[in-house]
Amino acid sequence: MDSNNTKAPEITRKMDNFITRVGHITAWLNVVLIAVIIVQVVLRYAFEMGMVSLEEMQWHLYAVLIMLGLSYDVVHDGHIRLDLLHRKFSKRTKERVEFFGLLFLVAPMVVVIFIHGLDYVGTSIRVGESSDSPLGLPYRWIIKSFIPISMALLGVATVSRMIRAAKTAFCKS
Amino acid sequence: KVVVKTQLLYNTSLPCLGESTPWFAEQIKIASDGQLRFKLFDPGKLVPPMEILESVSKGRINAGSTAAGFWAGKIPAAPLFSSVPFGPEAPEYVAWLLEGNGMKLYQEMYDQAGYNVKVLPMAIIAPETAGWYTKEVNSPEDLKGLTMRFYGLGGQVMQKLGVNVTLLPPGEIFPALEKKAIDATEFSMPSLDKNLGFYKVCKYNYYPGWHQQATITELLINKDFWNKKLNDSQRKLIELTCMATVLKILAKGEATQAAIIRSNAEKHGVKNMYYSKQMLDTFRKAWEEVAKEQAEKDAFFKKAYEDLTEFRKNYSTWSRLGFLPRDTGAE
Amino acid sequence: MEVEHILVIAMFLTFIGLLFTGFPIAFVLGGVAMLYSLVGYLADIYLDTATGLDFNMIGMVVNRIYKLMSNWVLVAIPMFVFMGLMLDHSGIAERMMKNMQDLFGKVRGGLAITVALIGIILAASTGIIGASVVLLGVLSLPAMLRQGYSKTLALGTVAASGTLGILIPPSIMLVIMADQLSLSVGDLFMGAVFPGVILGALYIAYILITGLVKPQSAPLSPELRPLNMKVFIDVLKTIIPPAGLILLVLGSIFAGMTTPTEASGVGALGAMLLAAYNKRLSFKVIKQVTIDTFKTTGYIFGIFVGATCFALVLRLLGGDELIENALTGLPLGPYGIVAVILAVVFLLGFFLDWIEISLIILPLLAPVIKSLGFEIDGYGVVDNPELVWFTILVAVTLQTSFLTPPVGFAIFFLQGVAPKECTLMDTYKGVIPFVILQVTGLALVTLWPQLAVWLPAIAYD
Ligand code: NA
Ligand code: NA
Repeated sequence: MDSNNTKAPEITRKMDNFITRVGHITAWLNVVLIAVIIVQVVLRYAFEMGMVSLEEMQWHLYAVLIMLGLSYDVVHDGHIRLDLLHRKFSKRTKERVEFFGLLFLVAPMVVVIFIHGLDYVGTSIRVGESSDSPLGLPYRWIIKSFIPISMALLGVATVSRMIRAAKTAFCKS
Repeated sequence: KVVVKTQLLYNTSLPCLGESTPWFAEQIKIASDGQLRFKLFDPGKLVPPMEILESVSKGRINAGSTAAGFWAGKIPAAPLFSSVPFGPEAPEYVAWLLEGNGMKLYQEMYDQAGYNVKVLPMAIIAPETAGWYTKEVNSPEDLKGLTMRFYGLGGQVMQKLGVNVTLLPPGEIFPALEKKAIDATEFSMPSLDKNLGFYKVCKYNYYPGWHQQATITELLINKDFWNKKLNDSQRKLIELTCMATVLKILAKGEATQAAIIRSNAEKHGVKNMYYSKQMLDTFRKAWEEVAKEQAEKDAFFKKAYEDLTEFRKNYSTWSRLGFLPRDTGAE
Repeated sequence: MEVEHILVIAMFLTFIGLLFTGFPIAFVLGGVAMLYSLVGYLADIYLDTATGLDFNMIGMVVNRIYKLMSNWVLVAIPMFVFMGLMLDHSGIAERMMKNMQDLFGKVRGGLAITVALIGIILAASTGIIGASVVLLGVLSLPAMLRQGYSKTLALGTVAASGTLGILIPPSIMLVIMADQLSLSVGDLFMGAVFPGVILGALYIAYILITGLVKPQSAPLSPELRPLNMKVFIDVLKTIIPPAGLILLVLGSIFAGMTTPTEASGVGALGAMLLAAYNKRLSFKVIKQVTIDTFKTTGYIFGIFVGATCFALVLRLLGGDELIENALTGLPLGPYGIVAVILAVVFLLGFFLDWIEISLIILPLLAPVIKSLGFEIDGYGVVDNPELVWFTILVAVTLQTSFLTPPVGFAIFFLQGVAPKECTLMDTYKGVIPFVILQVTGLALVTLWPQLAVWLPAIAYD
């Protein structure tokens, strides 16, 4: 988190801390993922037992990791930028870019994917969707619900970052 | 002028299954004097293969060319409308669909599951090969511990016999074989399998295709689009052209396999094998168990499977008397 | 010009313009997609276009994102990132780099060559640009800079070696291309071997020559010890465990024993065990590595999510047809058309990742190539030799475009892990010589198609 966070409004600090805490807990799924892969490798090579459900568990964990990373990287400035000109901008210009970018580029994306994502999960629950493989995992709605969840978190991160940006971008210091 | 945005599941360069929808679209265009056009999108272009049903249902795309077997995770009965292990051959399957309750049940299945789609048959192909192996399969013991790519209800049968069944999309099968991530695979008819290059790695190609004696693919059209955007003449034209395409692809598939099978053996050193009676009996017994379990789990599966079984029982009187004894590959 | 075509071009220009504001690329891609779906919707109402775009239609992005989430092959990305970061945070990578340098003795550029070699090996294991570049950058940049390498040479070497991953088999990109064109994946894998090796050799030759011509950009290690038996054994002791791990991971993939995903998980565990063996594994290190892995995969997949939205809207606006029509109408000979096609692929590589390009462009181009009537000898074994050759050309071109300023995926990924003192400008300057080498390699394969077709022919005979 950058230094201006210390002067940031209390509410944004709370939001950022929330995203950070969720991120730090989610990050441990990397270790779980290693464990699942190792179990599968051992079963497959030592006991000649293949397990489709373990394979599916792997991409389930991976999916949670990649989707929740979106919001974490907004709070921790992890997303890649083309910084050719950006580097030379003043602090104020940078924060203006951030504010309008979040408003016109990120917010519409969050809204669209969140709403359609909810509907997507709804369909999955309605038909009781499970894996297409006979011995795969049931309850597809669980993993699908990480689409709207990730967007909700990205929404929180976006609002928080916009408040912080607005402070520098538009308030006279 | 009406344009129907259609997402394909099979690549257009794949023989038979891939060729069906482009041929269909071409005929429709000519017959409607250019007033009705199916605009085709290659696999994955708009939505990924496994998302076509839902996207057509929601009206995001107008139509999709797919196969019901892909919806097993959403509708357990769906594979029955694509192919059935030890199931009907092409003429009998078509008879059930068009003259029996097949198409009625097919449509009812989607309606009941809440998908807003109109379903039509797009193509049918005759038997697939029973799979490609790197070693001989002489007894059920030889199957145990194999990791194999297998599709649909047949996959559940193999699972019962101790095979680790995985389901890979067409493009990932060959590299998986080459890396020995899988030991064996089935995909489709000889001419389609050839495109994927299995003969380069697996030298034992088994017949007969007990798991898919005939395979049906489908055209899904968004129901609101079907009812509101098309007029009677256009709907009739689509239905008739679907029938023509089914016949066209059946003919094409039947005409083109023999040469491929011979060239597999002569040019690439593939051994064309025919399963022993013992193996076929084993598969059949396992299939009967799978069918029973599925029927217990899912009411619509039970309903459709019973209807098909009833139809076949009736048909058997005819098939046993009407046809000449067949010369098979069995020794 | 039709209104749709103007929209397509406007969408591209908006995207490029917004990139230069420095707003995150992932969201520029995704956000521009959302804005232009609204533009398409309004154009249908007021300008009589037929994009069909509306709020329901744009919902397809959710179906596409789920496909991304359920991609088992890509599970290897977080695992390889974890492995690389663990080797880095536990100090193992740095020691390995330093010691390998000793083996090269008085050869200037020895460390850079080490990086290129590891890059080629790594490439072979992942086939994922993001993962290779990130892992290689994390492993080697600090060591090279500490030794006084010029930043440009260091960054260029890492970016170029990392991108070889999409070309050298097993390559996920080639798998997807084969699927799109119904070609044999084995043919494409074998076809890519010679071009990949030639490029690797060109890189190494360039580094050696730079060491001779501009010795200050590739200094020898100040702590360089004369190579005697004792040093040699010392070096082997520190190199063997981590090098053994990397070879184990790669070897098991090549020997056909494991899939890349399995190998990546084993590699991640192996890196933890090595750290423990060196008494560098603690709760704190594990926690830091998991968080950094999370952050890194977050931005890699941010770009994937943005790109999938962008490609969808571009397609719905009719971007595909614009390209196809433009190509088929060209008044050029066969090689002229191929040159134009490769130039277009190259430009698209600036904005779209290879998945999108393989899905959008290749199926459009295959019929064009077949109709050009190239007579390429498949030795009676390779089906569609002209398509195999062409696909390899596209693969090399794409690899080049990821390396090329201003917008190259490899450059961005590298920037994410480069030490603070490396600016984007340094990376730009660093990759330029490698881009020239790429063009050389491309020319060779164009002039001698047998470089791509001969190996598949004998491998499966
Ligand atoms: Na099949
Ligand atoms: Na590779």
